[in-house]
Amino acid sequence: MSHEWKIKSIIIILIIFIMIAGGIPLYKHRHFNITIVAGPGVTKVVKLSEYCKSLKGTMADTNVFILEGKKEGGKALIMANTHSNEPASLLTALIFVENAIVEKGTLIIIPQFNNSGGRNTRPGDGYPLYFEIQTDWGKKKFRMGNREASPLDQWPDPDVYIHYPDRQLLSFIDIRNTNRTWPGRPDGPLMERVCYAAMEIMRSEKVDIAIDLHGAETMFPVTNCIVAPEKSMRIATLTSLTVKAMEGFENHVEPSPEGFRGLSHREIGDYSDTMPFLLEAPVPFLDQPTGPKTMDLLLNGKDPFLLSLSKQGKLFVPYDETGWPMRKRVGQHCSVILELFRQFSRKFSDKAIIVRNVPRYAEVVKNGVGHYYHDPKKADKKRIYYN
Amino acid sequence: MKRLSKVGFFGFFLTLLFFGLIVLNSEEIPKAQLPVITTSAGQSPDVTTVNIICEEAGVMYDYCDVVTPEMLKDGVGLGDRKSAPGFHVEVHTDLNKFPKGTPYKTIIIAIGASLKGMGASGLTVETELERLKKVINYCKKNGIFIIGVHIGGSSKRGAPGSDNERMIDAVAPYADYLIVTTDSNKDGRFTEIAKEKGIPLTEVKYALEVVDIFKKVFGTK
Amino acid sequence: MYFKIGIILAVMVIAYALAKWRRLSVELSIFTSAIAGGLVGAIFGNPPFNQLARHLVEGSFTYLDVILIFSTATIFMAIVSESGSVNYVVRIIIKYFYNKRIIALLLLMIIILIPGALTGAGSVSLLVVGAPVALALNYLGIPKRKVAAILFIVAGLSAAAPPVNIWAMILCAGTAIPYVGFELPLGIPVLLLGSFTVLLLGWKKEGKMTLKEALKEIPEVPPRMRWWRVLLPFLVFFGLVAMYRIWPFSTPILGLPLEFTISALIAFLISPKKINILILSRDTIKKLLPLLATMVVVGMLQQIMTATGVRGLLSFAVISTPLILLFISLAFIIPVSEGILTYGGAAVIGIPLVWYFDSIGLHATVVMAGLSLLWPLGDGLPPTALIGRLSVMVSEYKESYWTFLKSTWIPWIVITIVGILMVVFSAKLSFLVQWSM
Repeated sequence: MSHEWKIKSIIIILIIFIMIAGGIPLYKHRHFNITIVAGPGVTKVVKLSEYCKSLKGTMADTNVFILEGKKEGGKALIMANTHSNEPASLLTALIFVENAIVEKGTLIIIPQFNNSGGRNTRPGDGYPLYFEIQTDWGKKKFRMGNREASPLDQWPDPDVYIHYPDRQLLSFIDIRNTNRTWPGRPDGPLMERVCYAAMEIMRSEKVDIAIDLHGAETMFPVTNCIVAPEKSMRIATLTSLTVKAMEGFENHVEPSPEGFRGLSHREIGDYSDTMPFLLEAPVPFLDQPTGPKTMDLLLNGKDPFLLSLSKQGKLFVPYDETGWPMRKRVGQHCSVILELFRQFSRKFSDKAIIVRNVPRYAEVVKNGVGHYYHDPKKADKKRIYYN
Repeated sequence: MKRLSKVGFFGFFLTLLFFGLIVLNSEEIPKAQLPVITTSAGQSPDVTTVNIICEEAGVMYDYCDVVTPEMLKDGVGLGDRKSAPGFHVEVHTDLNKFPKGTPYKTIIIAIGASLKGMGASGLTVETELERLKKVINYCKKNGIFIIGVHIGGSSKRGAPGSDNERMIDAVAPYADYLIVTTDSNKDGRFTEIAKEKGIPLTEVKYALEVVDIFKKVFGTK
Repeated sequence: MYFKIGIILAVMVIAYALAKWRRLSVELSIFTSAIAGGLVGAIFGNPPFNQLARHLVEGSFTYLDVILIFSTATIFMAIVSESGSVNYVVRIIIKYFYNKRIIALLLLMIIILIPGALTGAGSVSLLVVGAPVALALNYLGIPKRKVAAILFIVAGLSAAAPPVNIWAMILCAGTAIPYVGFELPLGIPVLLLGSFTVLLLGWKKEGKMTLKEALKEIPEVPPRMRWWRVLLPFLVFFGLVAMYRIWPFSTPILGLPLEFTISALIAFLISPKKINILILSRDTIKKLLPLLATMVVVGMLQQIMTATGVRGLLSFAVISTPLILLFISLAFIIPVSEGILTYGGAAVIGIPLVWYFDSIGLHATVVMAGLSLLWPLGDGLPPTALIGRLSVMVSEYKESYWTFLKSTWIPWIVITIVGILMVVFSAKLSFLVQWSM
């Protein structure tokens, strides 16, 4: 073997080693399941594919938790992990799934709405693969996902995404983004089918309000807010004013732009009788000018670059040395959801949605997010779900 | 958990009520008359909040984000104008009590600048200020009661000469009544204007309290 | 944190410089820099040692789609070229437009603009039509250095041209703005700047070749070559692209790599000359390998820079710059970010910049259009220099890379000024967006 070939062989072996050492964690991440303990309020768990048959057997299929109240009332749908790199949404949804008891009405919760995105990583962005939440019984491990579905599940992308049905041109990446593929269609690309299935839930179950949980950069003007179209504006505004007055946190209202298609807060309202709301909590981790993308940054939201930018007035949320801890973000989501229910019930008393046993902002901030998750080891095996 | 949160809420409500009563008693709340029109000074979304507060207070109103003296002249119903991109009209006034064309008695102006909002309405800061000047002149001439509302907090304030401050300059000194949140009046600017011009001012801690203020002002329940 | 990240950045720069000094290729130098950054980062705890391999592997997939487009487009064009179509087209252009120089130049510019405008990749323009256009420009008496310069600038503009502009799409996806209203804010400057460039650099005829001599120089084409054999593969490609635009809800999504592959098969099947497709593909990929490798290692570099905080530090430095200085420094920041991170620059620098500009009353869509005139310039800058290297490759310019780059200076400066002015006066230019919709 010549000298050149010896060097080439060493390099090939080295590359194969790196590929295996680097590939195994990525494979494990894609196939890691999060354990969910169905709480006392969960009366039924179905698959999203029940509402769109073509989802069956795909990575996009996901669990739908249904919590039916003792009395009939309004119906609400909560979707989380529409963007799986905004994890406060998933953590909030799981607090509801594991704790909520519905007195009146029905709650439908999809904790991992873009399940494929939750099993995807974000090449080039150096995210951690997992994050852990401290609970009263140990640490609960979660996958860190991506904004878009995995190309392993939906590929190739077109050169430009043409939104169905409005034909608005969107970025090619957005064909895998479940907050651009609303209202969807049953035979479209996989993510359009995911949105279609959710629309079918709303149409067939006659859902009154739909809440899509998100997170956004602190440098993004539409953060720390409720995005609502005209039909949801009154309830959103009253919710915003009430949480500010009663619980002391800001959560302003942003109008849903009429000219921007494919978003849940726009299309759900336009293509069903449901009132949509999209909740944004700040996620410093997602901002570009931050230090290393670590689990600590994800959970605590403390970053010296952002602190400096805050002092320069370049952030859209108040930001100080305490950062934006996960407990604050999840607490806000919990309170805003409960307040949306309350305001809706005030306006439509015959369709009231009354939920108890879900903590509000101050309680989550005080006790931490993990306090509300149950130990799967101690739970009834029949109540455990993996996704 | 449920009990804890209920007790907390009850306590909070009492506190709110207490402070609310202090606020209501400490300032004389002027009376205003219907019909009323709402508009924006600076095209921030705060005017939507004001509209919803009106609804909560049982105050039926007409609304135009870019109202002009000509439209005010047309009175209730705003001359049957229709909404268009960058131009929003809503008519909620009780037409049985106040038929179309009835002159407005009160205007509520939500102060707060948004470059995006102004851009969407085809306005610049200059043209918006010009519009406000004309509207205020018309109101003064025709005895329309002007209520200036600033509930956007510190995000709708800025350095002297900034867009937000120019909107305040355009409206606050000419108002007949000012309602502001504590966050909006941190530097006491509205207090100063009110003192200097002899304008009644109500400062509330939270925008939600404006519902009760409006009930008092318009005598609704 | 500033200090630690500063050290990592310094180590990455030193590692790159040392690798270049040891005469390693651009790709290996970038790889060395990524490894060095990752190792020093791991010493400081970010990324952890046991995650280093994962970050490298994950990062290497960042531009997988771009790599596939590059590969398939180049093989497609290699088949077209091998069949004799390229020489056939060049011969026709020279024959009919040799004495109508302005028309010839503008026509050639349009030919370069179309593939890039449709696919969003200037590289596709060069790979698909670069070689015949370069030959035609040569026969029009333009020296290879200037030919490479024209190709570089116009191919860059083609990537920025509507309807598909990948920088604008990345920005739209990242800033939650629909990808609409770009036709005029991008189309007008691209056409004006493109025309300016080809006329400026191509006006002067420097060779002494007559039409007869030029025609003699152009290699002979196979006797069975006809117009339909030239056009059909392109019609298939553009037809597939157009089909999705016209019937988006009933056309299956093929993606550009498959569309190029289908077109390549058509070109192969109708070629008047027998082509050994395996050998041709192998040779083409071999030629393209440095560029493909660059895309792989740039993804790794970007991942390591993010995992260590270096990317955030650079983004922070840009966003912290005072406004006036920021406007001026766009001339450097934007191209340099492209030179280092290719499309990653749009996400790292572009997204926070657009939000910031939007918050001070500038018009986001026009800002994006202005910035996306500046990004392609960075494709001529090291370490990646993607379009620059391709321009040199297809024009067969053999002299120093810097001499080629220097000859682009006038259009470079004009484009920079236009791009920055579009950003600064974006609010006043917003009517272009309205008119586009």
